[in-house]
Amino acid sequence: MSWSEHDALAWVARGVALALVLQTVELWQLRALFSERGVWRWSILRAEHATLPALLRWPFGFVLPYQPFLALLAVRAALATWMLISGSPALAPVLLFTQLAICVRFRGAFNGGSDYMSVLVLLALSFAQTPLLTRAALAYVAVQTTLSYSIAGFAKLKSAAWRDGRALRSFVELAVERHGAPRWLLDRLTTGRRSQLLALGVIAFECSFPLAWSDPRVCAAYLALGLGFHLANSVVFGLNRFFFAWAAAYPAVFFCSQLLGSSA
Amino acid sequence: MGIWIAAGLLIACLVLARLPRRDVQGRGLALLRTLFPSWRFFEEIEAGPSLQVATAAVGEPFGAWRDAQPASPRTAAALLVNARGNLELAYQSLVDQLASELDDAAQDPTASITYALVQRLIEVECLSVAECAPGQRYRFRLHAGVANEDGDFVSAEHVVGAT
Repeated sequence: MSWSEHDALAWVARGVALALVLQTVELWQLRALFSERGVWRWSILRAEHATLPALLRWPFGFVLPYQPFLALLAVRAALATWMLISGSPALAPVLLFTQLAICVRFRGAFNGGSDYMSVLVLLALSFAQTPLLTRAALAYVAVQTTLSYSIAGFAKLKSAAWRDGRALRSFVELAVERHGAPRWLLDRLTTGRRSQLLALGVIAFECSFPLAWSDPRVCAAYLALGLGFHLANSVVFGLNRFFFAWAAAYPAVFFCSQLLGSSA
Repeated sequence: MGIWIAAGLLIACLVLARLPRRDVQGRGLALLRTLFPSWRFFEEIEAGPSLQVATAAVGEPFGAWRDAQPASPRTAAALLVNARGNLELAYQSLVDQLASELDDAAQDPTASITYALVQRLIEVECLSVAECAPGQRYRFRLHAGVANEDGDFVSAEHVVGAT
């Protein structure tokens, strides 16, 4: 399989569009909680928006009250669906605005890492206007994806609790006790030395992710492992958004490995 | 060439991971923190506090503490759309943020937006219909576990509907 930068960009656009559609469906299901009778009341949040840079205060202030926010979600769902079907990144700047608006509405992020990844992919797509800029955008997404794994991996490697499996065990226990993860996970993942082996496997995968750049076949193997890793995180920790946000970035990583492989 | 780029990235990641973590300063920039990812997932080992609530009818003493956020069971469909699960994670972030603000003695955290949102979380999600009647009171605590109970933050009494 050989991709041009146009192909890779179209797959990144489709991937992030799918992630945005699913995120928007979730937010729509929760819409009552953003109203004045809900938790994230605009009348409470409004004061904080005065601290935004002046350039952003007006546009965000316009779309973040309850009714305009619902309209923003509806428009975003329609635009993301169009991008999913067309594979064209032309609407990425508008979708980037909606993504930032949602993050600001939730005081920085609704779902942490998946919001970060969605923003940076949309940011890159917004600048991909020429073949050279497209390559630069794909490289930016690929580098950030690599950093996301490898920095997280080295941060875990420094921790004794991660190296001996205690940290993973406590996260799984927390997911079961507080976040509704199935109880059988405790037996499957945390008994004996399993948690340590799993933790070391995660650390090895994350730390060594830069090797994905060395060859397209190695890259394909890392990306397959990555999908399995995010699927497991969805099952255990309920991080379904991470699966789609990171999968959207994978075509960029594969394109870069292919580009470097062909220039060897 | 790929292997050299891979080696360079590996070294860069190693260096970046060794740098001390720096939080985005200033509330305005914090709202835009998605533009500055740190990529240090699951670095903090200790679980954040759990939110517990106790309620009282008019003229009655407070009842026992109970978990404010009972977990919803996970379904297979949650792999695709997990609104409730992601909402519970967002609620936990809110509680963690309040705990962090309580540690910061520079300002009165009970006057903060985070505090007001936690009050709304309790009134909207955690109280039964009977507990939302006029004059009902509640208080909440950030519970760090039985072993650390002395360090729990316990809120003042609040009357339902006052926020």
